[in-house]
Amino acid sequence: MNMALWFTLVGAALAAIALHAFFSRRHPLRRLIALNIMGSGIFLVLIGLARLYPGTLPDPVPHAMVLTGIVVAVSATAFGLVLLRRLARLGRGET
Amino acid sequence: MSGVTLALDLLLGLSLVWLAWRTLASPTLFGAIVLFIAFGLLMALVWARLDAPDIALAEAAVGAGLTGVLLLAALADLQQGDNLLPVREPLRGWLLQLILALCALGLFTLLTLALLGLPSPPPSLAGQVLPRLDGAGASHPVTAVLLDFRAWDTLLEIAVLLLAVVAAWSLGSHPHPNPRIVGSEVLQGLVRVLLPFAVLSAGYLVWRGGFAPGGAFQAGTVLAAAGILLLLSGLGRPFNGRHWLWRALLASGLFIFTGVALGTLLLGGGALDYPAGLGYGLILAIELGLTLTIGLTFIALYAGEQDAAEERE
Repeated sequence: MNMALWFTLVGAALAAIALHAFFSRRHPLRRLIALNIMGSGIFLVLIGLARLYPGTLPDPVPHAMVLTGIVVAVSATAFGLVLLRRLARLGRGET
Repeated sequence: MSGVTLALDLLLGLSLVWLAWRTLASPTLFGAIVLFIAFGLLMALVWARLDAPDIALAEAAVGAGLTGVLLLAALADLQQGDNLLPVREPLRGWLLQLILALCALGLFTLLTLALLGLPSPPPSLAGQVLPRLDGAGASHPVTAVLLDFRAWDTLLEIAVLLLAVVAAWSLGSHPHPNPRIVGSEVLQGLVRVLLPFAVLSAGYLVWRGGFAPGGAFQAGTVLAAAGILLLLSGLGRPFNGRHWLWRALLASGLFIFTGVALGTLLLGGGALDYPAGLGYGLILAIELGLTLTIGLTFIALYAGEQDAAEERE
């Protein structure tokens, strides 16, 4: 089997597992982790597609998209964590 | 594909799925975060296997390093006393579990069918990017796409980063509760040795991005890692977000980028349509600004705003 195709299928499996965990787990921190893993799965599908046919140079456009995606994902995660910590502080009765 | 690489790819793919499953099913939050960091490292290996060194560099720094640090810092904060967050995992009804499992299975099946049903050869933009590299400001295809052909996307991405910091500060993001808790002498010694090299590597990565894998994203995360180590060791203090200099530096990437966009617009071309011959210099200037902004943004998101709590009191 084609190596890139194998990794795109792994990416699809990661996205599916993470989707399940995102809805079945309750703790917001776990949901953030699930969201990150789902993102990794989708990125893997994109990059696998970029070099599905060996011998040719990989398509640089999905590479640029995923690079942007990784940085946006980490800032979204960081913001989610700030919201979460705020929620926890409110729960403890602090401001 | 030879036997060894085939075995390696199979092993990598299977361990990735297994690690993801263990991460999501881990009984403790701490265990989940540690497994997630391992997952990020493995992802970096997979990127390298897929001929995506740019992404491998970014993933090793961001996915494995930065996200892990942010998650651990948040966990330390969350585990102080009781809070509103549902920590126990409630058992749901079997019907809901069944529907969820079917949804996940459906997603996997649809993605697989879509992937297997792709036309041959699959759609690719490489044929449009590669012949135009000579006229672009960077000879490395990924950098050329990021900062020349699709520079708008990158401009908006930097705006998103700035927005994340502004949003975090607006919520009164606090610094990590005990920043000096790991400030051992060993760590301080290590940071003193590592810091100049981290700054040097960041500079090298930016410069290299013009013609080879590397660039502002990777360099920025290396800077951020250096800054976070500085905070952890206790040698550095979180910066004051109310000081105009820090705010200007945080926004510098967006300022330079927008400035270049306006400049090229006034010169008669389209926005970010670099004049011939100036592309390389302009891209380097933008990338230096981006590196500083990305590095400082992640440090700010980790450290929070030092004076937010004190000034409100």
